[in-house]
Amino acid sequence: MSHATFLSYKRFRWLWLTIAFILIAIAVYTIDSPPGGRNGGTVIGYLYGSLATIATVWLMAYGLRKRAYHSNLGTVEGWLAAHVWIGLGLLVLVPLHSGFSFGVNVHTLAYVAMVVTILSGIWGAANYVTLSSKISEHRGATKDMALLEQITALGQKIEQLKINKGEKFLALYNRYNFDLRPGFMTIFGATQIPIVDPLGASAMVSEVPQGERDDAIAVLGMLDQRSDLARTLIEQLRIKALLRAWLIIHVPFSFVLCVAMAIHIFSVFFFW
Amino acid sequence: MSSKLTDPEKGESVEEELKRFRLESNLPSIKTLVIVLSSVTLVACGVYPLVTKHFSLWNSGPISNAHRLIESDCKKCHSEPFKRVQDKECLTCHALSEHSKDLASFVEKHTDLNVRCSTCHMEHNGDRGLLLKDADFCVNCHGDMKGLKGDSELLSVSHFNSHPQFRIKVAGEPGKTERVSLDDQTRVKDNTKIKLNHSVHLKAGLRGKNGPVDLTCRSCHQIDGDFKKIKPISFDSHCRDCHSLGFDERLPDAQVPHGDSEAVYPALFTEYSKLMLGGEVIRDTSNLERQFPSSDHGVSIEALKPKDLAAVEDSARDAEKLLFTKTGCYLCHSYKEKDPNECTKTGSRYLIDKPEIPEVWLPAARFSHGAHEEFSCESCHKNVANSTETTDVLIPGIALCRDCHQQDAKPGYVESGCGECHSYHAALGFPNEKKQSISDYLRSLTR
Repeated sequence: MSHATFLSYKRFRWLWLTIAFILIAIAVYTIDSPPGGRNGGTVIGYLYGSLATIATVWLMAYGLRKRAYHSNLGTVEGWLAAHVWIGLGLLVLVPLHSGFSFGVNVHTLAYVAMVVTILSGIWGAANYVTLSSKISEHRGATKDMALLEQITALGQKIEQLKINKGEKFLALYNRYNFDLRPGFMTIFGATQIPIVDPLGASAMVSEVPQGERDDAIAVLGMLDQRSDLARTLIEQLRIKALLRAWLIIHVPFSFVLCVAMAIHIFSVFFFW
Repeated sequence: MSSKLTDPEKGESVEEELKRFRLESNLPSIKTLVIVLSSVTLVACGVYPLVTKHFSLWNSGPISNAHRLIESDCKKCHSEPFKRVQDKECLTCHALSEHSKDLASFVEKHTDLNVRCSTCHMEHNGDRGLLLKDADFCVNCHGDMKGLKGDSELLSVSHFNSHPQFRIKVAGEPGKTERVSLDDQTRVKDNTKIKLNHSVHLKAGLRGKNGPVDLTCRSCHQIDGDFKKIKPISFDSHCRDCHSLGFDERLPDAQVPHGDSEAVYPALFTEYSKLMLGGEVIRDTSNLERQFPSSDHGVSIEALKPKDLAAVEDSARDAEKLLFTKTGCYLCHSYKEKDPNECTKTGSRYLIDKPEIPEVWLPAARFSHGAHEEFSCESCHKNVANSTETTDVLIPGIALCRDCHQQDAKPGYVESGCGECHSYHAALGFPNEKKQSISDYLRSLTR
């Protein structure tokens, strides 16, 4: 499965279906003029609320379908396309359900949780579309672990070479060495990885005493290689993190949405 | 610095280090987040309201100002969970008016409509309040009266723009009235049994009690204290100054009473007996002995000559005839002459037709003259100055209303739903037996 096709699945079938449905829903909403104003308690309000509930339950079921590898109930690709476009449709259908009335209450909380879920979903989909090609660029390239091993090995060689070296050598070392602090802040740009610039580097090497110069050139080469490897590793880890980060919002908030929606439905009929 | 890097030969350490770059190692797991956030939501929004009975998080919308007093007391209206608000809950505090009772019997026949108090009075609707102004609400039923109630004399209304012309009640078949549209020029007639010429009354320099007077509309049609209605015309307030009910130049201060034609002859008899019998008042000639039992009053029965009494009676009867058929009463009233067999010796021989001046022409609607005070009377009541007949109906038609009022919000117009002029049901006094003390009531509130 090519990464962008989950959106364009079967020539955007689910996008068009959703747009058509939403346009009809908006038209009916506009024509309908219930006494007392449009709200969740009118005929159209109940209808749209029911549809949104069914849609939400079905969208949640995607999480199950995704894991049901042996299921023949449609393709996962089709489910995902429908999941994305129908989910986006809810962004419009639910305000139509409520007649655009919002407040500080569990009813609006359900909507807010839904919006957060959908926005994180949009972020996730955008990440897949823009970043998945970059992952394939690295496909077949050195694995993360091998990269980190090389970075570590180079680091240790560099440390050994700098032992008993003079001030200028250490200046060169300090200029291009870096500490690859493990942690997810590093992959989101918290650690600056210095790039070995040929002009600046050769100037610094020329200042190193003659006796240390060969080592200085060797260290510089290793620092340059280590910097390249580190940036490649960080980029790969960053892409992988972005392809997961949205889920950390998407999934928990979808459950918050379900809980809030259940309380919403319970409470409006409790106090009917 | 590079001491943090582990020995490349210890692959496991590198693997562990790599893990520390991953999100999963730095953030709570999705499962943990699902459990924590869902639980917090459930407890805060579900369990907390149910346990503490603080349901503000469940409130579906702002409550109307009128019900703010009982806002925290959900049970006042929602007495049973999972059941719609019932009329009986409304009736704990509110009284039903006649119209609503009519509706109740009507609803029994049309259970399909499922009309409840809250069908029209929707709560948790914020600024819209409890009194719905939406015309749609009324025209749902009133748009097709024939379909709703075949024998209804009401016409169908589906929009203010197509609201039928105003109809007033006119006399139809004997003993019956019918409603006739103001557009029906030939049949629209003011049937008031009064002779009134507006044109004459609006002429300048009329002969008044104390010299010439210029009457205006407000001289007779005055706004009531509540600034809504026009006060009914009263002879004493609006007519007597110019239209004296005197009857004899010899009795310049004497006037017959107004309002009861039966009282006219006795009053005339009294006045003439004073004039012609030396100042004594004789009210009833049939029982002279009872009125003059002794000579204490200076007049003895013997002293009264039958011819004097006959002269008093004749004068009174002459004046009565003149008043009822030529002058005084006749100026404004029509009359009937009684069957001589029904007349008593002391009673009136004429009967004034009841004028029946309508207080309002359109009783099913509400029009506030006070709210329209800034406009001149004649800008709406256009032909008054030229009106010479009582039968002229001088109220304006609905087209004039539409110059300022439109059903739908429109710049330059007053947005006017049905409720602008019509009430569905009037508020009634709350039954005494259901009243309670305000302190008891406040104690019963959850606040």
